[in-house]
Amino acid sequence: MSDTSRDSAFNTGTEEGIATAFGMWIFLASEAMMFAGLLLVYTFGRLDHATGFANASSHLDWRLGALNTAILICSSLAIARAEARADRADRRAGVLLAVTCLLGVLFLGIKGYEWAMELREGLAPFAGLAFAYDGPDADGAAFFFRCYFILTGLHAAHMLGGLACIGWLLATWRHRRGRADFHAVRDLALYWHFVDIVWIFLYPLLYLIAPA
Amino acid sequence: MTRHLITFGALAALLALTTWVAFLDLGAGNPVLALGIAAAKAALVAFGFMGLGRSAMQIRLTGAAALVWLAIFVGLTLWAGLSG
Amino acid sequence: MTDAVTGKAPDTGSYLGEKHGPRAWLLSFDHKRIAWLYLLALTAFFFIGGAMAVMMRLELATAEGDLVSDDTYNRLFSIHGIIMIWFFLVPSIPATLGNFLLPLMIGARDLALPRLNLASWYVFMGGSLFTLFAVLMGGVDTGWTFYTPYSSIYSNSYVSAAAFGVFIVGFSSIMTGINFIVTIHRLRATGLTWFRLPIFVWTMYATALVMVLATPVLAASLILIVAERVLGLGVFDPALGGDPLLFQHLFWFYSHPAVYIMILPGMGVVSEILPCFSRQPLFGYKAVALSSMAIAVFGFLVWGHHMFVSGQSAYAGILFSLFSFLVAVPSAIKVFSWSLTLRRGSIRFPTPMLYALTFLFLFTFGGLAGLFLAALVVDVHLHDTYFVVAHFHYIMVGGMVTAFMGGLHFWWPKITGRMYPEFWGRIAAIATFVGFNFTFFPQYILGYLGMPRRYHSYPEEFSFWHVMSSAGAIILAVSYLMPLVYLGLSLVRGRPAPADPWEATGLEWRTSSPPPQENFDETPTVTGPAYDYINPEPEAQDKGAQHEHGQPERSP
Repeated sequence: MSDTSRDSAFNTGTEEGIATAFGMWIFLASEAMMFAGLLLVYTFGRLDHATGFANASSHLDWRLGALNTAILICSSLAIARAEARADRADRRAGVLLAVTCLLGVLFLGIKGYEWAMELREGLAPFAGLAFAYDGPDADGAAFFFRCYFILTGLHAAHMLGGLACIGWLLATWRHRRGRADFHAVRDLALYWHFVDIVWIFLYPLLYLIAPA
Repeated sequence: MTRHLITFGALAALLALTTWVAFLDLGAGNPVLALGIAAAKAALVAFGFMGLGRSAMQIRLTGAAALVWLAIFVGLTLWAGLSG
Repeated sequence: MTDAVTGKAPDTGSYLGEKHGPRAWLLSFDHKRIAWLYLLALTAFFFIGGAMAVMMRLELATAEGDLVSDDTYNRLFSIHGIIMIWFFLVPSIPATLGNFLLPLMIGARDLALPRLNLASWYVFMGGSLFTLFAVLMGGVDTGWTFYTPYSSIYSNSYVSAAAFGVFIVGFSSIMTGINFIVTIHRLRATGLTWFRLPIFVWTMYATALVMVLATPVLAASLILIVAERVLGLGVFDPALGGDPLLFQHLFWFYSHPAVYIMILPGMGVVSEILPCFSRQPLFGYKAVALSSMAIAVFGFLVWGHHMFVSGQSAYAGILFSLFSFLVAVPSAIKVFSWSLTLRRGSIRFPTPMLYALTFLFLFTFGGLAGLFLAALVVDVHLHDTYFVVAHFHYIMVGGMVTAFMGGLHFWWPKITGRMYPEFWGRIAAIATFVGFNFTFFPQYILGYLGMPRRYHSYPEEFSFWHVMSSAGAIILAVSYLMPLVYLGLSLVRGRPAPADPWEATGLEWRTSSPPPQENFDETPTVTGPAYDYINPEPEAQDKGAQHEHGQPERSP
């Protein structure tokens, strides 16, 4: 920590930037495998309980899902523009990062509102809570909701991680001057886009089986 | 700038499309279409926002390898779990 | 040589001598110091896990379950497996020798992402200590496989805590994998093309690939177990519409490729040692390099062979059986290449070579037993018997641990700047070979006779083989304790090591022992192939002449 000259095996900041971006891509490939594992659980459930899944899905409000998808797409645009600015060492990139942050918080707010609704309506079949679903194939519906909470919960955890990193970037913003100081913006943008992609799959799989 | 805006526009259009087709009764076509559109949107994000097409060869290989492994994992598990 | 001579000589200017104190070690981004952090932690875990094994073998020395209760025995083998696999074998060679040697072998100053490297150690310690805490609280009795529905519904042991710890350790593994892949792609010295890389580097690359692509699936399955136990978010419980078999698919999608995390690095070590002590280039270099990659890729297609008797479809069984036979092909290519490297070589038998030859024998033996298990019909008889236990111990202990010991001795002079006592090294290596075979060969027979695994008592007629196995385990335990003592003593009393004590090729031997903090005083360039050995024996020249040898550079 004390001697910063030793911290890098690379001769230039640009080379180091390529390496960190490459590392981030590998990490995202790894993350994709993890979400794939959870989506497999969902898929087996849906194939076994087609009726329950369709009926349970119609209990979700697709408008809120669509709104959240739109918010995430906007946030991806914002962070993509932030990256373009940071690439020119334009410090105004910070404004766009703040916008990304706000959109992320808005997404989580809506998500939290939805969860609260589902808890109140008795659609959260875990932790000993009563399951107040009265349609056909209650077992299948309960399975859907458990998948729903696991998938959206893990996605939200990833959002929180991303928000924390953006917060850290903004907190250290005034120390960042040269182009190499802004590589972190690009790596973070890659992560943020990935979390966006995960939601792009979750939206139709969870909200649009049989929208009401 | 243009590339980002085009990507954004296409994503918004596909969001509307996927929501609209979900209300049509296409039988098995519904999940296929939903996943197809989601894959197209994912590709748009990867190429339009994440710059996958202009990245170093290693990064494009990483993306390709991820797809191959996802296919192995999901395909083989589904097949082994459902056949027989 | 006396201590007065050895005094401080090797420390001047080396990475060991630069800064002292716990901060300089615990917060260092230097890959060589992080390798030490891992080495210390892994040594501790190895002996904790080993102590569990010894207690199990002591219990099994008599037919009655008299030493520990059945419940305690379940906890012993569970934690033995969890510690040995996740907290020792998976990180063993990559995080210690790999961490230390990878930058040296490719002529780099450090790994590409030094901060991530240090972070991976803290993540590893956090996760493993969390699990260890669960053990102290009362243990886990599910076996290392955490099979549902037992783990998710019925077990009343500390499954969630243990699984959560393993989940965290998984991220340390992913971090190491990312770091290695990026490093090998981006930091090779000038002239060091892919097909000039030492095989050790190739195997690290293949290992990293598996770590990055398989570990996340383990993470997913462990999340689901913890979610089911803690939150009641059950997706494997058949009573709730779930599928317990799905857990096995997710688990083995990680854990079978993880078997290759636990052997590929060993293959890499042996590929360095064998050419060095037979003074010949590695036979079939390209085939060995590509075999490593083939094993990494094919390793992902065989997980269903753990589920032959689980009720998966017969077609799936046939396909997984076929792939399991196919994955043996690249391993066999390697075994033949190693054997042919020895042919007509000028062979010497220092400690690393003894370990490497032990590896060659035990790995081949274990691998062949694997073919029995890959055959559908035979597996129905042998599934969950001691035959399986013997098979994977031949690979993991006879293969990987032996290679780890060999590599540790081989590079000990480079890592510490001190020579270890050769006499004691050879004794330990031979004791390993004898002790190992006494311990595990009887288990093949036990399994074939029908002794199931995971029982703490057994019928009298199995006594003979069990007693032999337990006796062997004592020899084996001693053979692992010996290096702990003499390697430890050599740190202060060992003869100072020259830069290249084995006259080995490879960039790591071109720098001083121990290396300076910057690894190389001048950035090295590479002009020739790996394993540039010249056999001094004239009759071997016909073979050696096929390779274009440059002037071997031996000086630092």
